[in-house]
Amino acid sequence: MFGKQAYELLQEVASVPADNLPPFNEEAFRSVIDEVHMQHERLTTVYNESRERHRQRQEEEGGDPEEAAAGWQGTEAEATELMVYHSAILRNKRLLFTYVKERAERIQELRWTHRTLPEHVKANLSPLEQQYFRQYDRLLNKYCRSGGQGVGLDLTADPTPPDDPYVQVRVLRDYADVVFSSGKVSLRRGKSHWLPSDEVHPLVMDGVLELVGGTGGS
Amino acid sequence: MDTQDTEFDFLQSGPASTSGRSDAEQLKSALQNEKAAPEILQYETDLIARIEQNLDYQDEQIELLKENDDMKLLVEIYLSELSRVRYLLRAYLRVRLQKIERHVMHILDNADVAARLSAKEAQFARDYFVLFGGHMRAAAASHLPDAFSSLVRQASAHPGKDMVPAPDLDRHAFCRVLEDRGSVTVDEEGNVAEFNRGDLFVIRYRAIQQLLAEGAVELL
Repeated sequence: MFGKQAYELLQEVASVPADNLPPFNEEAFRSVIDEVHMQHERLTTVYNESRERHRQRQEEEGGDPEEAAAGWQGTEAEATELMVYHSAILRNKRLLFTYVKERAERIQELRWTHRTLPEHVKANLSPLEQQYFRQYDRLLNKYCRSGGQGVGLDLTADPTPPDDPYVQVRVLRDYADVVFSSGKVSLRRGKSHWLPSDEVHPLVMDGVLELVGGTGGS
Repeated sequence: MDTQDTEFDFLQSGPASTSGRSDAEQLKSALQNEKAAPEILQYETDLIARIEQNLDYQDEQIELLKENDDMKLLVEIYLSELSRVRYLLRAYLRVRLQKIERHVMHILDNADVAARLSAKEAQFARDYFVLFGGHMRAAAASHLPDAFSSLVRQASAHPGKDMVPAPDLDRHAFCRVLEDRGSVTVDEEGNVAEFNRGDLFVIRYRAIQQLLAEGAVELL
């Protein structure tokens, strides 16, 4: 059935939670493309044959070939066939585009929520998509950077409204000495600290810190 | 202390504000409007410039205050106020960026919509379009037959750009009226409604699009 394979392709993505991606299904993707080319070929053939038949008919009737071409009308059967191929191509195209777009949007979303690609997702991306992530990362960094080109704010920081200026965090793994606006803190596994909530969010996303006791709520 | 207080207080109405609302309140309202509107709104150039300036100034002032131990509580209060304003600013820029990504082709295609972006947003939109469009083309469109490979048309024979995602201006919106406007025409059939200060409406966005731009209503 036309469009079935493309639909299944899309369902692969839809069945996975939004922060994850199934492997890019190159094989199925290619075979949908092949299906489209087959449909397009049939579309062109039926169209040309129909015109040719029409032209011959006109010639036999002794009509003007110029005029005849303009007045072309397929039979009902031909028109139906053309319509089916045409709609099938449009549907396949829409599904393929949605597949690529949905994946690209999830890749973008990961840049906002995780900053870097988690390894298990990265393994599932096509080379083009990995490149897309790197370029999107660069683009967003440029917009967030301070100075002439950017707004000077990390827009991915604290997606929830601030509660207290300081939050309690626990260190999950050994990390370097970090200078916060409250002073220098050496982050060692298992220790807990009170730190400025604005500044801990990147480290929470990187999995170095976790928030203790629901403060901050992110 | 008095002079310092006014310098620090975002809630205090500055001389530059015309509506009698503080910058922080205006920013909050701008964020709320932006979040509720289906399309991207005019960038608040002056407001954001004022707030950015204020943030830098206040950072400096807090540094000065920190040296004095008696001011500890005050510093805490100022810090939390600052981080709230920063949060609003980030959220405002963030929600706009999301809309730009979602409707990038529609925005760049319509000069009057593109004019609503800040210079940096406009640059982002152009770069993003190149990136996203390039990816769609390389990953999908370039493999399709020529007649069907357009990113903006379903088939290249179609006259209109029928594949450009655009905001749905007929979506409903909740709005509060800020200025008395009397009778306002709310649909094509010429039906009118009384818009008086403080009234609440659930209404098609298109009907209040102009009023919102004029600041006569705010979205909820």
